Amino acid sequence: MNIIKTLSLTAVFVLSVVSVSFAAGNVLTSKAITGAIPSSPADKVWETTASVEMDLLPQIVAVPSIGTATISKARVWSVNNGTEIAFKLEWFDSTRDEALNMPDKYSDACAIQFPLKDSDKPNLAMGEKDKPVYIVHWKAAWEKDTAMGYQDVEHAYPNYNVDGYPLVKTVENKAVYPVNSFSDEAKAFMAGIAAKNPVSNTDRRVPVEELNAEGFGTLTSQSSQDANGKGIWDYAYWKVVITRKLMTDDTADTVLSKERTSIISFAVWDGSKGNIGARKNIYEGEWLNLKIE
Amino acid sequence: MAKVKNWQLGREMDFPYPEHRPKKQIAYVFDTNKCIACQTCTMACKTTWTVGKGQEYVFWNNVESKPWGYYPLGWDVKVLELLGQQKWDGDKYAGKTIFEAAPKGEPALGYAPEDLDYASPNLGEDECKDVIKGTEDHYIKGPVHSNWGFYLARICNHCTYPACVAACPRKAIYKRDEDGIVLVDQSRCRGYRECVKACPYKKPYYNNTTRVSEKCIACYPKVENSEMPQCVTTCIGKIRLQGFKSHPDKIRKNNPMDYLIHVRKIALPLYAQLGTEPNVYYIPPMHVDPKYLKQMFGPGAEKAVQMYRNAGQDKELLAALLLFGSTEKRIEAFKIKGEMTVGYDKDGKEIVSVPLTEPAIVRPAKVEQSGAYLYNNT
Ligand code: SF4
Ligand code: SF4
Repeated sequence: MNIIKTLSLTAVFVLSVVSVSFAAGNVLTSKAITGAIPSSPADKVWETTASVEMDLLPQIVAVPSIGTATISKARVWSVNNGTEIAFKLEWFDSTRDEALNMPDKYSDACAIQFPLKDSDKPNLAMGEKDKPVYIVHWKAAWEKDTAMGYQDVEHAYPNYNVDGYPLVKTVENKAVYPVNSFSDEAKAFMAGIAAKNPVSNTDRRVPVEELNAEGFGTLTSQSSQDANGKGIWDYAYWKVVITRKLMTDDTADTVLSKERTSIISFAVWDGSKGNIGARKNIYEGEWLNLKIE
Repeated sequence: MAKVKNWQLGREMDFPYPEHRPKKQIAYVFDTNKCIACQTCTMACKTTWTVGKGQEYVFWNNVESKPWGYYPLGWDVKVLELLGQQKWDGDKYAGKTIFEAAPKGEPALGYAPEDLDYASPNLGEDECKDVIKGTEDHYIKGPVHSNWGFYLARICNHCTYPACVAACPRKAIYKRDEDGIVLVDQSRCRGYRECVKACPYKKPYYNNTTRVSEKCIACYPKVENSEMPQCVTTCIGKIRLQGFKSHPDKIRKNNPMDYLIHVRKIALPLYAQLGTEPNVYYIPPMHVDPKYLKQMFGPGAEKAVQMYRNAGQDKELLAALLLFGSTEKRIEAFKIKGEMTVGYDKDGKEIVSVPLTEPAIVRPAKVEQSGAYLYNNT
């Protein structure tokens, strides 16, 4: 554990030196637009907005890690209208992995990370004690949940058969109902749901989740969810838009504002390569500068 | 990595956290010689804890036919193969544990089972020798051996050095200080399945509906109430006993767990070489190739088998063994009183007494009055 700590402190030190000499290409500019911000990755506005291509590296600071990058490049765009901001991420991934309802399936995903406090430059690996980070996380599986209804056992195994579930009435000898139709008493037999674990949310309205972290292993879902998003898989490219207000009422959200340079970083997961949690690809192992026009 | 003492290996080993032994350590002894693979334990566990949606394939308790049965498919041969050939030097393990053999960036040497590995619980059931010919058509290739087999009942080992705890990056799995039971915090787990990958016994399971991992909870509501878990108290073959075991330096001879595990060393850990210090102890089966038993139960296996063969003449051992399946209550101490073995609860109150020998009545096979022969007359 100590070794990890030392390593991460070294990483922070190196980063702060490197950050002074950010080249022009290392700045992501959030272009000012008028009117509604784009909620879709297919919106025309992205075609006239400059992007930054990012090289991705495997996360290796913390255990578990991945040896080599499973996604090596991603492209990012940003626009804002003074009230709301949108980011678009795009990366090549020939497999569309959007299942979390089988023991050996993992979801494609991406995340954007900001320091919670403007003045901080926390450890890139999920922040650090007293230097929290704010994260917006999109998952392909959540996209499918929101589009097609909660993906459950009957979707993973369409021909499966079950005698019954406790306190769930069977009709025509079938007990295969959407879990959302279960009574609270019946849901008590599903511990994650009964414990109100945010990842067991069977009634997801948006494909993104806002979280905070103060170091590795401390990722915590926010009680107030203010972000939105939309991802499409288009000819082997994931194209994902994540939107939120520049400023929200939630003190756990990073405040973004015009004429201010913030720092931002990105992570991308490839489900079919077993990427989940810390097994991910991250932007060059450093923070990127974000300039909001 | 910290250096911790693993008494089952007779040496120190690497583990991500410093040594911390709970105030009490839950332990079980399973007598493999008595298991009939009726799966009553499996169903008792299933109907008590894993009957919800998303748990269709989940068996916190399973009973598999060895050598060819598994759940999930091939779990132990896969882990042993990953680890490669290792050695015992007498009672000391001279090889590597799953923590010491962990590849860079991994918490332990392990693998993630595939969905299909869970598709046929105990595929290979009751196949002892002939079905496996090592040909292409069979689900697993292996050597043909002489005819032997046995049933291995398995639950989470509530390990002293749990690989699941070591692997969880969120520290969502914890070992309770009061009884050593290992639990997954259902509100913190994010379903990364690092525990599933790292646990060599493959005892954490991913819930397909809640998308978080779950594992055996040792029926803690019963255990807290001085009762033994469901898989123990429902066992038809009376093969199981649950209690708390002491550290080998502080054993209490009249504690049936300490007596069987530490004093007599007849109950042995399953694949101790993996390094997790598992706390389900097995009395090895009598009719199995000793080499196989050594691989599975360590260097003490042959001696344990001999001791078991002689149990009828070994009054004290018999006294401990006859407590199995005699009560739902946890037996904290036992004593021989005349021709009875007596079990006591934590307050020293007598809770059960069992005769050391049952009266045997031999009935003649032929009934003289009618001249009929009796079959199955027991
Ligand atoms: S058997 Fe597996 S799940 Fe149970 S405590 Fe040990 S490592 Fe964890
Ligand atoms: S109930 Fe007992 S005898 Fe039956 S399978 Fe389980 S452990 Fe074996």
